[in-house]
Amino acid sequence: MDAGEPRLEMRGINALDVCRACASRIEQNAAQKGLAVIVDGDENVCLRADPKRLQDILDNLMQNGLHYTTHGYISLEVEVVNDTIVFCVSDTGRGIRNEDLGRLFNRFESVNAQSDAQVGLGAGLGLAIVHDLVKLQGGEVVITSVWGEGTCARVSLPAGYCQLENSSAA
Amino acid sequence: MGKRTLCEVKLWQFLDGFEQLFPSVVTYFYWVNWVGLAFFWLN
Repeated sequence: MDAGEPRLEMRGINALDVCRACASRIEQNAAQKGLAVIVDGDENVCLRADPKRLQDILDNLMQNGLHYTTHGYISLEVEVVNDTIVFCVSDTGRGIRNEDLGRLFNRFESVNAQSDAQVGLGAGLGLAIVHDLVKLQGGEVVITSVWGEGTCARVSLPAGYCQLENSSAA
Repeated sequence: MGKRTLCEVKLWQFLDGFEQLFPSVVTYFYWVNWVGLAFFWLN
């Protein structure tokens, strides 16, 4: 028995509540840059996941959107596709070049290294961590982008057997 | 890329958080790591 080893704490959570919480954490910084933060999705979407890890994933993607977007919006949408819950974080930032998309999840590799240094962005660990956290929960993450127009990160997680434990409804 | 344990991912998260507080320190260790590996290969 591997006592002490951290484990995922999977439980039933409302997907839109997690999205709203993540959006609220970047709202102030987004407002300072003149960016809108949009959250959209069905109120009753529920999934079985580790809430802390899911927050880490979405926070990371939203922060990336915030860093690379100078006008427009950052949106976080949630939808149900068969037995999968899909979170889509999109922005109207500068996007990622096609040739860079293949190495986004490499550790210590920043596709915008020069400009990252200017804005004080990290060592290129964020997306690798997102990738690992999604895989740990049995999902997958796909990033698509059009250079100059924006980026969309789709995180698909299995819905699992879901029963809400903390309902916001009184 | 193989599947990592949560423990490994937490370590990376710690390093990432640390890097955001002290960017130059992690960059320094990153390069030290590669220089160390190169030294190992050359010997």
